[in-house]
Amino acid sequence: MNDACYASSVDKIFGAVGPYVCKYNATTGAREGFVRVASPLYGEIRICYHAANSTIYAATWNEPDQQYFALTWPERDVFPVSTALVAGAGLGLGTIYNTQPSYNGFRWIGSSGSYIYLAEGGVGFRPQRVNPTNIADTNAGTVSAGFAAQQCGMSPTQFVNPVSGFVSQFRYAPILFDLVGDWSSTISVAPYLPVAAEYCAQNGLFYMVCGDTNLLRINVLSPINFTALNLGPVEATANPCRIRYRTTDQKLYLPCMTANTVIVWDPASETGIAKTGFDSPCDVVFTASKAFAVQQSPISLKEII
Amino acid sequence: MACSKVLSMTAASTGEAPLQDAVYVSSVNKIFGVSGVYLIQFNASTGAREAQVRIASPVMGTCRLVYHAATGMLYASVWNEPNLGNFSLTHPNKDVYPIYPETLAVGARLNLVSTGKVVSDFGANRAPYWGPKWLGSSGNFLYVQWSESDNNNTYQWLRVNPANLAQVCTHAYDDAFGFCSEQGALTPRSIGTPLIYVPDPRTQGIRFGPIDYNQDFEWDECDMPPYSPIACDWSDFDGLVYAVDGMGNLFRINDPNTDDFTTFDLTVSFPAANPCRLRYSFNDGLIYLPCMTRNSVLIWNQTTHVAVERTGFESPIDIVEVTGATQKIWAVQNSPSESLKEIT
Repeated sequence: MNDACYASSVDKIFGAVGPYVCKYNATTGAREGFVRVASPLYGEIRICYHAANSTIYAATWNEPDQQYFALTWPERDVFPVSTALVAGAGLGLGTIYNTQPSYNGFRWIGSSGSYIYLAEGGVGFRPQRVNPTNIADTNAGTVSAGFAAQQCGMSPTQFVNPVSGFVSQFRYAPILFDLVGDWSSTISVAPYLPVAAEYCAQNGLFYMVCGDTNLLRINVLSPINFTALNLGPVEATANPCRIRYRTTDQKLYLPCMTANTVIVWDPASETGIAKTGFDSPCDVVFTASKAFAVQQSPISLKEII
Repeated sequence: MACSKVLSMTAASTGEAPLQDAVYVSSVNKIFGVSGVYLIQFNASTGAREAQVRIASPVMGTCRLVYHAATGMLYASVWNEPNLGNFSLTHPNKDVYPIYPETLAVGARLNLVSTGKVVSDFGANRAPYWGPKWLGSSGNFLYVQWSESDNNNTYQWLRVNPANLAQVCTHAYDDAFGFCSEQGALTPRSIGTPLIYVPDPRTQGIRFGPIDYNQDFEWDECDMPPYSPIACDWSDFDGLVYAVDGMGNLFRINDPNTDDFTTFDLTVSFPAANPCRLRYSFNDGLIYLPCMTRNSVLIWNQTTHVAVERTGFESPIDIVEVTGATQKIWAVQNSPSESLKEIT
């Protein structure tokens, strides 16, 4: 499984497995159904739950080596999926933005208010803000060098976008960004390479992970002031590529695929513990009362206790 | 030996295992498939999952698989996508790994980068695109399609003796331009002059050369514009190579030296048929074409030039054949439901 989200309206977890959306029991983690969203050959998707219309949205892509399939790459788009697992027609964003097949596709997807947010992938990538019930209300952010981030961070007022890849930078903009001009210039966090960001409501700060033992606490967005925290003492081979804030316990969860652990980080004390017993955890999903590791292994969900 | 954890599967813990590739190993009468970076063992008669092991840990990686009779080992090529190329803990894992089919123990990776034949790093922990993809086996050698593209989209073909890494050859087109194909073809060593065929979708042709090519050998190419072949296989029935382009066309290569090929448009009878791999069956002498979008498998008769369709599949992307006493042909499915589904 690549991604998961919790739909509070139906108390279910939805997960992304290849180009499929699967539905799981939020208490047991047992799979209850699935539907193929699209058919980009060997495609993958990221998903989010959009509370504004109680719908799952799936962003699809497949890898560059599959780009030659003319039947395939037009299906790189964003697709609505009802909580009853009925997949709808694509929003048509691929038609708008995917003018060439190579590399393009929609990677990370998130939701806030009336909008879904996307990181359109490519060697150059850009974030987008889309009203799925009114596609005309679509706003593209600036194009950045690098790759699409694993995860962008959203506070009530700010949108933070790591410039994932080979530069030590991120950009940010108001959460209701309209134009390229709304975006900051690239902010350097050298020598670190952030790949995912999350907003921590406990202290009102953004955090970033770099796929290694560094956890970045962004003290001030501009002028940039950040602190690099070391996850090494908690997990020597920590390499989280995503990070999730859990409201109920006010902690950050960092899945470490290589070590088969999930680090639970307390931003108040700046200490962490490593939960063990997982199998390639790559993300974390929270229900109202539970936390599950999203695993890349054939066992998709495992509760974090 | 690399550290690995083999897990036995129970009915309650099967979960999802969408497959990218599968092979049958007659010595243990098992099918082995790869899902993400996991190797999974299946019962060859029932298709039931029996055990699994993680091969390596490139974050959100994937792999392809081959059985190498010369060493009695499985080999898995492991990579992950460009957007994940910058994880310093991750990209060194892009390599070829041996796995013992009897125990599922994962051996030490071949460390092909150490041979100096492939690019390991573009600097600053930056390893976008590169990694080994399709694998083939013939005689003492593995054939490894290695994508090392930065912005130039280049790849190489390696001929590797896994028992003697000093014997590594790259093909002569060091700057081959394009993306990796899905599948190459190796003609049997028992007939004539064995050849290797390499589809190149970007240059719209199939390169070919002697299977024991040396590094300085200049490959020939069967030019096929406007088509972009992405997979090919050798047919024992007529001694010809067949190819697909993922867009509904099946090609029979009549004579690669003269660019002589015949095109069969599968979409006339089967709209949206888009096989991106194909397999010749030694069980029945037919060619099997998995069509992910149609959720079906087309079976091509080389004599009548007619395909019949088998339906009821879920995102089939490849075919694996069980030979010997228990002859079965399975669809390899990229779905969360059944990893394997028998074609009957």
